Amino acid sequence: MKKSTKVTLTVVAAVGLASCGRSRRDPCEQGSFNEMACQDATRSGGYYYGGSWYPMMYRYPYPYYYDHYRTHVSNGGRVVSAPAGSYARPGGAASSPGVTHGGFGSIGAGHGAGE
Amino acid sequence: MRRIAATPRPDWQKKVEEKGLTWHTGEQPYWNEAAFYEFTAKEVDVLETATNELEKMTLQAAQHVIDNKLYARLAIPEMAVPLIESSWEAEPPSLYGRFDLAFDGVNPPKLLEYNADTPTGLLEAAVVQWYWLQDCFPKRDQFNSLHERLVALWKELAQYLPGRRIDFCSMDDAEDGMTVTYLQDTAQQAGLQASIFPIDEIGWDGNTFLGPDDRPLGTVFKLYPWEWMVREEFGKHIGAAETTWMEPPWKMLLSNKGILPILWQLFPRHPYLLEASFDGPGLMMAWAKKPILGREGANILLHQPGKDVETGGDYGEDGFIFQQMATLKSFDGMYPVIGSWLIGHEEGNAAGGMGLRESDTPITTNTSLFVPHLFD
Repeated sequence: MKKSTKVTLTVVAAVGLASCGRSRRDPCEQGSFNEMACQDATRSGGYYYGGSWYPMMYRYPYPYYYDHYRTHVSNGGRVVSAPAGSYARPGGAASSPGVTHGGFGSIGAGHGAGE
Repeated sequence: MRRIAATPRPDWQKKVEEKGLTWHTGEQPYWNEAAFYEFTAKEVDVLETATNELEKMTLQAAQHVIDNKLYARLAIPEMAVPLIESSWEAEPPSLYGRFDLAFDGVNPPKLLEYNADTPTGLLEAAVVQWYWLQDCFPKRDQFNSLHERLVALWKELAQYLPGRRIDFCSMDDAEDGMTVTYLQDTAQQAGLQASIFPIDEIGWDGNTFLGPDDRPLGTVFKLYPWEWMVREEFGKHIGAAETTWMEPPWKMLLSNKGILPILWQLFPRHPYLLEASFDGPGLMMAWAKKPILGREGANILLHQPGKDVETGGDYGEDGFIFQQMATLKSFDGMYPVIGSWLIGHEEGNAAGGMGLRESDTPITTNTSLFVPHLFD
């Protein structure tokens, strides 16, 4: 009665796979590096890709990933860029006049809200 | 109840990452499968019964607060009162909660606190430890029907969600992100449309809350505490807007440490409760002083005769409560706390499973380790 028997995963499994670089393109991965998007991602703890938000845990600050990328390139490594606009925030740039953002989240800024 | 040392799976990091636990190691592994806890079926029954009973008691306590207007005692601002009372009457959807229990396998479980509004650690409890069981002990059992219950509950709630859609938001934080990503997955498995975005991207156009794409928000699951939401810039718009928020505003009453002395007043000497007071430790010999609106073990003082242990933090300006110190039993030098999950609020049938976190001190903090469990 207490046994769980029907655990199936869709998004969660994709998150795990993606963290290994097999699905969407992490902007901080050396093979898909994107300078601006990686800076945003390390600062925000995640990134948008194709309009969806992907939370990530980056263990190091941005320069670490940049250095890895540079080393990768100088060793002849290939970089496959994501299509233009892939990392854009949905609706962010085109937000309608009269719409304000940022009215929630100020107290929790910089740390988690779960417990 | 026993703690048993175990050899971690050789590629455990990859295995847990594949299940969505992208943050599993800090200064030390947060996900710890170098040990597990073993329970008897009877012990699991005790925990399940206690969880369902505590659920009933906490709902009675919420009604008591509302009936007697005890909001100031809980440091709840006046502007939040209409939100609480209207949501209590309207009974909008509510998804989950987690009781943190002290339990030694012998004595009745004792309620340490109720994370009613923004509990995390759900993916670990619902999914990651389940796959650990399948890999390591496929013939054993686990107190865990969280995933099926979540999917089933979303199916029930679908009719109340405009457009059969739910948007999830949280802080830009790995742990919170894992929880809402997992919940998004369960909602999608139930056939709902779902998206996810950081909470600071919610917009306001003067009448309506909007998503990052300026789409009106019908129902939002927010992993963000109500006591913060009502104090922030957009807090004043919540009552006027049509957006339905999950968890609902009345959960503000139960995620508040002030509910602990109220429970003790309503159910004195109840076997599942520890003595608690707003006014000081009284005759308690060993006690914990907790901030009314504290989080993650911050600003807690544990007092025993001749010995005080205190954690740091930024909480406490809204006052404290005093709670008799639970006698946490040490298992191999570790102190486990049971996170007993509620899915939905069906009377007598809300307990859905558990996860254990352990520390080398009696205070559970955000650095405590998650340890899997099984039972026979």
